[in-house]
Amino acid sequence: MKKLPDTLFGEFLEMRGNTYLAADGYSKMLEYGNEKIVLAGKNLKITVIGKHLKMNYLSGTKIGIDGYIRSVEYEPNNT
Amino acid sequence: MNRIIRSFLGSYTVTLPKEKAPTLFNICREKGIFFFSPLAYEDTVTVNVSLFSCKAFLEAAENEGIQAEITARQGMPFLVSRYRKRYGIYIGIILSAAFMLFSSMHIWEINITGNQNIKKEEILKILASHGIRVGTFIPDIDADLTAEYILLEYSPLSSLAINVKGTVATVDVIERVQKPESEFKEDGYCNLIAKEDGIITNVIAAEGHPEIKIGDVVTEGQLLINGIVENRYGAFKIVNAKGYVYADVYKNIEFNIPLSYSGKEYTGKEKTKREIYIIGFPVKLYRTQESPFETCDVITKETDLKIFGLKLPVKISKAVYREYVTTEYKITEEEAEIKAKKALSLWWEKESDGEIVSIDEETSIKNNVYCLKAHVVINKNIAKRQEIKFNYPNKPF
Repeated sequence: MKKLPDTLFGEFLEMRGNTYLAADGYSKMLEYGNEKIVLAGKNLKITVIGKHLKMNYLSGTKIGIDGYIRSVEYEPNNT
Repeated sequence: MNRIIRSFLGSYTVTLPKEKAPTLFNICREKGIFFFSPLAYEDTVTVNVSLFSCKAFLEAAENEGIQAEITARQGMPFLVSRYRKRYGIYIGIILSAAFMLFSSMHIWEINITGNQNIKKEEILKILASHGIRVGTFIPDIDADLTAEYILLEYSPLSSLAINVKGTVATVDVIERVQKPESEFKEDGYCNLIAKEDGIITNVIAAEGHPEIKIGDVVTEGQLLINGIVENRYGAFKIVNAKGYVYADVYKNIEFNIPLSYSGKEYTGKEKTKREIYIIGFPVKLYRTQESPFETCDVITKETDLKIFGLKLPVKISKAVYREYVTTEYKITEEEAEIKAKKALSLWWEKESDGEIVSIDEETSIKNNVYCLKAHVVINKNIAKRQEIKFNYPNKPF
């Protein structure tokens, strides 16, 4: 059986309902917009999709995002 | 709170291309360059940068070849810079600060508590005579010494305390309870004496020995009923003399009514002048404070200025001048007679003690004055109590 990439090590997400998301462990931001914000972690790429998305704070490896979050997608970080 | 601080410190709004924004954010994160409130639009992203980190932010953008430009400025530093040549603002700020400092060192209000019979205005007058009034310089006030001086000079007060808190002086008073006039006790010893001159018409002595009889002429202060009574054994006893002594009292009264007199007739012209007192100091609003009319009545009213219920040390004094002319009025003899008779009946209402036995009226006109002379005989009780006092020149102990 193919070993799945270790998704738990490095990235940490905390959500409060669907209006607030706090991400920890990401290394850089790849895309920033009203409806889509893409963050790249060590192993995973996290895509936050929604409306009126806005970065609340940014420090070190932590980022906070406000807005109406419709979905959070994970994909392996091949970069 | 952050918004207030940022507004006070000031910030720039920088616009950059949307696709380059994440790159610049990552660089700022690595270098510790602070920015806030990033907003994404169709093609651009705007961020707010503080005055302190704007230079570093723009340098980071330039190094990456990102076209970032300042599109707006907001905050207190820019507002101040915009009006820096308006010297009136600085003068106004300095004057306001000076006024605040000046006014905070003077009394704005005086509150009086504890007074029941003594009027507040009277206490304020006394305080003013000792240097405590609205506008007094607070460091000059010696509360304890002033209170002592006032208590020494003004006997109706038993206690007085002056407390100055901020710009309000609170004066707590306790009024002196006056000793009531000693009234005769029911079981005390007294005589009955005449309170007026008269001719005795009736004597009713319930207790004591009458010293007068019907028909006697008595003068004020004369003994009527004696409280020292001799019994049948020749011994004397002292009693509380009681009774009634009626006498005809003769009174002569005169009423003079002038047939012509001067009176005021208001012309209808009025003028109002206002004066402002700030912390007790008057601010003149007119070149002259003299009356605008030759003859006039003045009605003055003072109002304290208040804002949202807070009393300010500002008083507005409104003086209304009503012009009048002096007019000569004449009345007829009949009118003068009516006035004189009315005065006589008012006198009798005030007297209202006893019964009128007779009134002889005599009228005359002299020097344009209607004169009514009345000789009134009133029958009334003229007895009044007088305490019998004892002297003990050689006390045994």
